[in-house]
Amino acid sequence: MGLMLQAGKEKRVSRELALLAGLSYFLSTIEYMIPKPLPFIRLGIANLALMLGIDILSFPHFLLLVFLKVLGQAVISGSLFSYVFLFSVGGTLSSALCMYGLRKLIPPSLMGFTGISTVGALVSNGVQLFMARFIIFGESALYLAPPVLLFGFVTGFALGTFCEFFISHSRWYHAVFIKRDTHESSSTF
Amino acid sequence: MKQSRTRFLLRPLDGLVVLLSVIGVGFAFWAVYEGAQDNLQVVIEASGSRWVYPLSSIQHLAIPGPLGTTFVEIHQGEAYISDSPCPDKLCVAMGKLKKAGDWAACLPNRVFVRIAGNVRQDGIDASSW
Repeated sequence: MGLMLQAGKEKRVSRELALLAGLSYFLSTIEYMIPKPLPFIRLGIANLALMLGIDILSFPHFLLLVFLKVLGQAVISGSLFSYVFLFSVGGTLSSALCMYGLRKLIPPSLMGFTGISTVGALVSNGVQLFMARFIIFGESALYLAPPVLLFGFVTGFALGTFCEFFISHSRWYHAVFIKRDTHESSSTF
Repeated sequence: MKQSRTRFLLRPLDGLVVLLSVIGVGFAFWAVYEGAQDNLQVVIEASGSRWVYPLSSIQHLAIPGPLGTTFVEIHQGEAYISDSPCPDKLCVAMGKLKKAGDWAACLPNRVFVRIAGNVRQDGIDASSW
């Protein structure tokens, strides 16, 4: 009986992980279709999947989701074997770890996903600018910083606010991720 | 339902993060772009090299990068990237640079062009000390 429960839980976790990874691929595709005015500027909408994953997945599974997101984005944008991939890994990994840490350390009554997402976006941009300073542009990378950080702040804030709204209002989110324990075998798929 | 709506409001630390971000971004704009507007120079950085030309000069420059050659024109107090071997040509679309703080960059070919006021020709930054 215990073994069956264990197997059921594992199945559920892998289903949730696959769903979130799929969501991040879908959002990455949407993001890729939108033209960007400047280098390094991005919407970061695929991070919605990461933020949802923080509350749902264990830390190892969360890291796996981060890896899948980075890999999926690289395949979609065709940057897997270019130096751009390094920037993607650096930005995503640092911001994902920051967001995970903030969510676990600070009670949700004090800081919601709006603040977490804003910090995550700025950390991601900061790390990428730092890498640009040492890998590509030298001192000139400083000139990229203001518009990149401004855009990161605006998109991070907007995405975080949307994430907060999504978690409290989405029926899909509730059906798939919250009521999982009471309706394990319900037909949400 | 009522509870879920109050959950949606900004929490105290969200506000703090937003406040600090606005201050930080504002400071970044001020610190980077508020430079002297006299003695304007075009600074080009690519592949670890650095070129400096007066903005008032006339230049047709071919800057080497990993993808090929990026062409930079300096003409009548304006500098711009006229062509670059990148797929999306964002750098060309960034237009003409006229005042200190203006910049254009070709990320794929790793070429960065910017305008700076009062650049010292020896290339040693005061902050290096």
